[in-house]
Amino acid sequence: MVLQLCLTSAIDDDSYELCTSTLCNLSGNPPVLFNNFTAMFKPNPSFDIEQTNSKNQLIEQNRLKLCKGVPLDCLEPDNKQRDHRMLRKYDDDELKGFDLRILQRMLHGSIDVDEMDVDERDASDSAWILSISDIPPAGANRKVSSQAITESTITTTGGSSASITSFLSELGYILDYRLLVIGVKFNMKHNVYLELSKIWQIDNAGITRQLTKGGFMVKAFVNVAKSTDIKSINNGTNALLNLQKELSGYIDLTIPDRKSMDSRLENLNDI
Amino acid sequence: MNSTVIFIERSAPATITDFYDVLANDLISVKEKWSFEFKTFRFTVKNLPPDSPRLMHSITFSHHGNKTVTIKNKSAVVTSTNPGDIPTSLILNGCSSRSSEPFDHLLTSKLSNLWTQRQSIKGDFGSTYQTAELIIRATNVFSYGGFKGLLIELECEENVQDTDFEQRVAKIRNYLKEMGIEDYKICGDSIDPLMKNYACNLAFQYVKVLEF
Repeated sequence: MVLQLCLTSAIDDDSYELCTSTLCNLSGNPPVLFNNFTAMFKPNPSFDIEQTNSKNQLIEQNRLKLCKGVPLDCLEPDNKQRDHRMLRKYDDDELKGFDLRILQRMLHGSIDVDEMDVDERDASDSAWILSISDIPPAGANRKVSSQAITESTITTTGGSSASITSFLSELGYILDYRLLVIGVKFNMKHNVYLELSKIWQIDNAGITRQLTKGGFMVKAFVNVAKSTDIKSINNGTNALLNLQKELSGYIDLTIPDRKSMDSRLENLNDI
Repeated sequence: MNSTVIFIERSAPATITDFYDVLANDLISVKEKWSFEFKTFRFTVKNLPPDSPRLMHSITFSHHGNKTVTIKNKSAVVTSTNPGDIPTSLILNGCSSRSSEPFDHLLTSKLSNLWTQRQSIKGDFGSTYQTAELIIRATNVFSYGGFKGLLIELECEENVQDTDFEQRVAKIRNYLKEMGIEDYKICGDSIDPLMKNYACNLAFQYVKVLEF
């Protein structure tokens, strides 16, 4: 179980250029382009699912998060333009120059049989990270948000219906909603990562909607591998607070609303 | 790469020694010890269509890089807790935080309202024999401390033809016959003939012979 400590903020589109160069100087590292495709799965509503397990413990129904990166050349075919500046072109709902069918293929496998024979699918192609996150604990005197995340690595999928979606439907889960995140990441001091990202929601008809329109989401976080490692938690908290102090007046990092980080089924406000 | 799994329920804890004696003439070397764990989970949803299967199986192999295969119906996933098995693209893109947990843990903690663990079968400290033709893994199988039987896994090298492999398996079956063992379950099928995913196929064969 990973404990993720984080602080968030936002900047507008016009500040992006200056912000990246400021953070670049501050961290001493160039920005790293990243992206990930997230598919959230919910328990199949047609099933009559108990709220308790065999030991009569209450188990709240959580969404499952399935996550993997999208190859960068799908987003920007030109290698020379593939740096942090490419994010400037995404100021609208549309994902310009991106074929959404790639995402479809990732989730459901290739429908076209011929195509499957042609390209030899390498092993990392069907790898996913499956995770479930708890709602961050409440408390008035918290300095940073801390969220417990349980994750598992799926290295490959197999069987005669080999897509990840068919396995999860056997598990009792169906697709709820899909997100695509594109952003830049800075490696700051003391294992703090700072991300500036844009987030799109993709609906079933293939229409994209930018959730971060007009700006970028800023997230500074530290991952602590063990939730019992008090020393690392304290170090991480202090590192985040130092960064908060350093950036104050420019980017005001605050604790995100814990309710917006709730992935339980009853909570629908976050979508 | 081909494999076949044999499970002999009507056997004694000493059968494995007899088997070793029979093989002794063919042996090139005795290799590493191995183990596996086989768990069965049951879907607790009540209003499931009557024809859909309720059981899911997960098998962890100490050989094959400590991978776990979880199989239900026609779908399978291979999970790993080895940090080296997380693809770097997933780490660089911020999907993984580099600390994976066994998939079984996810089932028994976060999804325990949907899935209940039914039984756990273990084979510990099994032997690996290398002959000129096959790699033979044999282990006694226990369930909660009680002896369940003898499990034999046969594997050959990558470039061996299917028909050759079948002959080699037949030879082992002859040995078993000589030992007076004729009542056993054997499975050499594959879950999906198109995509030759070795770990998934092997797990599928384990499920077929161990499901009782």
